Amino acid sequence: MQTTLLSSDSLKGSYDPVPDANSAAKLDAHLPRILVVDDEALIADTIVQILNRSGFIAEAAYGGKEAIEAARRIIPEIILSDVLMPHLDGVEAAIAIQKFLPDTRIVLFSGQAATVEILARARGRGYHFELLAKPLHPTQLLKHLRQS
Amino acid sequence: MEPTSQGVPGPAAPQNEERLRLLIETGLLLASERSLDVIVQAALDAGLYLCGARFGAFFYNNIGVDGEPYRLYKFSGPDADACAALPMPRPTELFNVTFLGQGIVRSDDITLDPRYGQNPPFAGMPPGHAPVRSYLAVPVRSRGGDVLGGLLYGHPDAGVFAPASEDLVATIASQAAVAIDNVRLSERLTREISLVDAARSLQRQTSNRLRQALDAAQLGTWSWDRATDLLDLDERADQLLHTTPHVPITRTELRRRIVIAEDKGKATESLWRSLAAGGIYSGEYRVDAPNGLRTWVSASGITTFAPESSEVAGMIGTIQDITARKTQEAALCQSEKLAATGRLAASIAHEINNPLEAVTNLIYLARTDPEVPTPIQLLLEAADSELARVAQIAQQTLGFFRDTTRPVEIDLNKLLHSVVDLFARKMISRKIVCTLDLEPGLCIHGLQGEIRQVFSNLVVNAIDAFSSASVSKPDRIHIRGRHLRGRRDGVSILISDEGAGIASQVRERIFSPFFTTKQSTGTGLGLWVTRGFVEKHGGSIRFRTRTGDPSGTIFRVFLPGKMPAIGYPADNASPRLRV
Ligand SMILES: Nc1ncnc2c1ncn2[C@@H]1O[C@H](COP(=O)(O)OP(=O)(O)O)[C@@H](O)[C@H]1O
Ligand SMILES: [Mg+2]
Repeated sequence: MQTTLLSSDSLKGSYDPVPDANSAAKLDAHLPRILVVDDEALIADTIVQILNRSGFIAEAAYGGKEAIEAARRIIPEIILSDVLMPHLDGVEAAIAIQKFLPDTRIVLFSGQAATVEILARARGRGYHFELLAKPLHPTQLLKHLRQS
Repeated sequence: MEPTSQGVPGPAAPQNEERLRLLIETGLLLASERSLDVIVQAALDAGLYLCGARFGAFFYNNIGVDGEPYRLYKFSGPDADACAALPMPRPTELFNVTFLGQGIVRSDDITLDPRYGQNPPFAGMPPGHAPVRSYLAVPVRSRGGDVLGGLLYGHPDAGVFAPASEDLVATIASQAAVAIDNVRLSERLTREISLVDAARSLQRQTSNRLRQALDAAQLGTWSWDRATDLLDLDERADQLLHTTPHVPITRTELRRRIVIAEDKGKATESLWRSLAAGGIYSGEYRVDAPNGLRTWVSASGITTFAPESSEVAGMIGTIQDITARKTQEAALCQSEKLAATGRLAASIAHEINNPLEAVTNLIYLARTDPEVPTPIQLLLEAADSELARVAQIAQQTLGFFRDTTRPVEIDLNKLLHSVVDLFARKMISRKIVCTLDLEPGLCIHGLQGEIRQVFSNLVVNAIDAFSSASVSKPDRIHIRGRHLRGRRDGVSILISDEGAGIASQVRERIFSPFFTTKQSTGTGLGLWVTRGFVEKHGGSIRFRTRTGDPSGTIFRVFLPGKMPAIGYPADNASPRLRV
């Protein structure tokens, strides 16, 4: 495997989203807005790029608190959020967001199977979230997000 | 015998007839008597009476309980009291004749004897007593010739003891000797018998104790004769080794009959090693009972030698059932392994899955970039599929991703097709043809993610079963699905491959966690997880396999129409590895 190709530096140089394309997309009302939350910036950023290339308007947030602020601002149709994050975890953030955005679809995304317990906790409080396992191939992710 | 009337004190000297009667009576008494004390006294008294002495003494040796001889004496006659104060006779020249058994001493006046007076004690009799003049001393000798003691008689007058008296006392002495001999013999016998008894009861005790110990430890005993190869087993050993009591069997035959193939070499090797080294033999192996029950036994023994030789004649030892211990060990080992792995997996799942996600995304971005030249895109595609494999392994190993949804209606036709689709690329690259024969409408109620995992694990294994792409015909995997009606409604899914099959020695282990024959790529968790899920759904999984030609394996999964309500959502049942 070519590590240089895969390092984040080489990537950022080549693949920053083109601002024009982005603003153009924002004007398009048919494109769903999606907020990607992950404390690992590399994951959040790559997913944002993939989504932006695939017919979504995506934005990244790198923590629970930030996610809540971003959600208020952009009012996303979908939130794709990591679960295990420092300070405010994905489930707590999702519950907080769901309170003011009851129609937003929330998809949790986790590298840990123990997430099942966290989800059960949310369910106990009346919140039903979808859960996807990391790693998930981008084609799978897109397929999942496109079906409602 | 010539009666001698003159010189013999009238009233004391008995007549012939009377003497004879006394002699016979004494002989009878002595012959029947078992007490040394009584014998000595009776002989002494009879002699005294028969020879008409004023006093007599019987010095005799006795054997103490410790086996050490010591000398005793008894006195008799009217002057006996005075004599009682006498010290033991010392081995003077005169006494030596008697006590060394050299012969009878009869003297009409001992004071005239040249041997007399050189040493006391008779010279030094207590004051006020007349010194002994007439003297008769007869040794008492056993049949074996040992001197048992001596009968000594005396009289203050000279010339009292006639030659006839000498004969009479000699007869008494020999009667006494026989009696004493008998007593000695019976004493020795008694002592020996009691010694033997003691030894025997000790032996009984010891063997009882040994038996108790053997029983408590559930130990059987065995001995083995090297020359004939025959085994001698006790009752418990017979039980443990499934042999018929009292029917001779050789070690070789026994081993052939009951020791399982895998452990045969082990048992023998250890025996020869200890025979060669002369050390302790110990071996643990599994044995199969005729009823098919398998147990672990542990045998240990030490070599025995031919009498007065350094050649190994065989072995003796014990045997024990250690199945319980083995099972516990195995369970402990596995649960420890699982606990450790569980913790390990939990701690690294996050560390692995996140970078995997990032790398997958990066490759995707690079690959789908229109500016990337085609050759590099092809490379990235290869990297992507390799990464998918890594992701698959990580998913199986580290995070048993489970549905958060409740049990749902699962369309197995759809699910099985999608599983096959998932591996289509892999199968094409390995020239494997997969066919499906599914009855329409195969539906069950259960957890979608887990059921998907069950079949994808089985399909992956089927793909792996083909070692190298065969040239002659394409490798085939066939999946067949049927409804089952009967005791329990459900579905039966067969996944068959024409791969290498599963070797008989590993068959019983394939469902164990971490058991794998695929060195670098296997996790050994696939079937373990699969069975966990199937059983959680109330189903069962079986397999049949063949390694000959043709070879192949069929896994059959039965799933009931509806999974049992218990165990969900508080599913602390299988799979046990939680991360
Ligand atoms: N279809 C099959 N054909 C041959 N061997 C098999 C098959 N399925 C399973 N096995 C054997 O069982 C072992 C355990 O399988 P599994 O638990 O899935 O772990 P893994 O596939 O990681 O080795 C495999 O390593 C293989 O030896
Ligand atoms: Mg496997």
